Amino acid sequence: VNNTSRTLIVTFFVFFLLFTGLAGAATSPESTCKEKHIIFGFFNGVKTHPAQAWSSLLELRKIHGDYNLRGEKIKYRTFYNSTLGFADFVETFEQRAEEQNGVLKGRYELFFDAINGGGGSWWSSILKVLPNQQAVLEAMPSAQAIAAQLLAAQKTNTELNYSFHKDTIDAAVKTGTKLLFVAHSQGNLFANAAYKYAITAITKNGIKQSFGDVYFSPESMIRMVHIAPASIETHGPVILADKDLVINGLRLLGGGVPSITDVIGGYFLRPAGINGERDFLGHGLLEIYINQKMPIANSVKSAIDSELNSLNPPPCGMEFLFQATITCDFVKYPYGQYSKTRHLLRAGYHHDVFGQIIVNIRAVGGLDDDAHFQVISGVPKSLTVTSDTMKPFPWHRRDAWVKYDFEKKSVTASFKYGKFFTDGYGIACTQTEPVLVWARSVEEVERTDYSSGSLITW
Amino acid sequence: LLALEESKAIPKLERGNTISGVDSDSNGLRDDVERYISENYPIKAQKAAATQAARAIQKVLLITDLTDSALVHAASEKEAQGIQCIYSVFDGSADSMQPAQVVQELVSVTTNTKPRLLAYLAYSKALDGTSMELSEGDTCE
Repeated sequence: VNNTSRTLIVTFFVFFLLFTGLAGAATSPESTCKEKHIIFGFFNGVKTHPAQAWSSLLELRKIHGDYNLRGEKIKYRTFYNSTLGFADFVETFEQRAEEQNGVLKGRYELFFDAINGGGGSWWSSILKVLPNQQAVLEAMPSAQAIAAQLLAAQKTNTELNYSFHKDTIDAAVKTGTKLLFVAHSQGNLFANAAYKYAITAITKNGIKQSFGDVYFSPESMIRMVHIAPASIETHGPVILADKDLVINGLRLLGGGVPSITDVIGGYFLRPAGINGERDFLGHGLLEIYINQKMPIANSVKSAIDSELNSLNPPPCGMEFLFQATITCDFVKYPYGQYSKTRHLLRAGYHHDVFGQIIVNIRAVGGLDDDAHFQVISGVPKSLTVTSDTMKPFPWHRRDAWVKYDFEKKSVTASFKYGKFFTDGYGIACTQTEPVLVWARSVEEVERTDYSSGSLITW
Repeated sequence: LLALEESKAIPKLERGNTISGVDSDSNGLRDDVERYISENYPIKAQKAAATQAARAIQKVLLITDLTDSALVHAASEKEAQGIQCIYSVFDGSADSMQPAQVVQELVSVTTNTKPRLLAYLAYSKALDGTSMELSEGDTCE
């Protein structure tokens, strides 16, 4: 290819890139942006094993459905916390089972029901023929003992220390996804910390308080519902039963808790919960608070529905700031050998390179699966190209289209350049420090595939 | 208690020393749990759902390295999908138990010895601080 032909080709590509780049930039994010979904985050209570947490979440989904009244999709998610000293309860069970003539010794299938007071059918059958085994149940953790645990948890869980919870919240905040935290018992301690973290993250990450003429309050996109809260700190409606012996115990121990909101029947008047068990402590989520046979479940449902329907999304086109790292790949060029890290070029020549440079932006932390961003600012105006002769070659960003990579859990931005030259032996693109990138959420990202000229839509 | 077991008022379970228990057909499910499922959830779809969930619960007991978060996460996802399947099959109607009750029964019969119960609680501890989303669509295998 002689110089004239090469110049023509390059000129064609420069115009092609200019045209397609402008066409992409002309797409208004505001016009394509639609409201994001809602994350329904469930923070489980004390003595909740993983399967119970999933069960609770699925029960909540049965009650509240997959869409709110606005037709916004609700995605259900656990924010799991385990119970400190759960294994100690096993020792208690074992000791007391041995003490009672050892009749129930080794029957650990009775354990989970026992820690709720043994209201299930297996225990009922056993107590009918062996009433003295009631002593095993009575040895299980009392309301006071659990309250003491919650009091200790109150003092130690004032900040969010769970990195997975933080990542999930970060991803939601960055995408403008609305959050509803529903917390039960001990889960309120973690949910409170998560709530404050999220509010701070929004502010820290620079959601603008006003967008055009629209005022936006971060609190309107994150709501909480507190069920049997083990803390006086609340950020939303509270539902607390009068005969919740655990929370009453916590109150007696000096742990601050909110006021009672609902009256429930005595133990013998309560219908079994949806797990077939009755909690004599009056504290269980499945047995009491979302037991659809008990009126208190209506209070919980109303509170959650109300919050689900009043969450406000950030305005369309809301801008978010996220930290990103940038690396560069040179995908093809006319001369030299391809290398991920070093791009050897023939010495002493000028090289025309067009449509070959991909700059990857990776968000620090994950992003939501259906997040699309258009980078709008914050990317360095120029990156440094170094050559073996150490002659810098700056080039300028024309546009950046960003895509979430499902497998890599990262954001990739493709930067396209019409052309650049180098006369070194090799070139490398360097940008080692993370940068803060402004991005705008859009429903759909269109990008031009410069190598084929076809339009690709993610 | 033996009479209660015979009348099926309480479960009749194997109580060996191993966490894996006796699985003579090597299908990932203890024989006694398989029998319990057949006796208590005889409808075909219910039996299949319970089997899927029980197998997933059994699998979390056998996680070799609970510090491997990817391993724990993957096992938990399977457990969740099994439980989700139960919720899609059991609806609490006249010929169906409440799904929450089925889940609790399956966890209880699977963790019926001290080592098995402690293994499940260790798994619970390994999940502390995690966050996972319900799967979309049909999770039944």
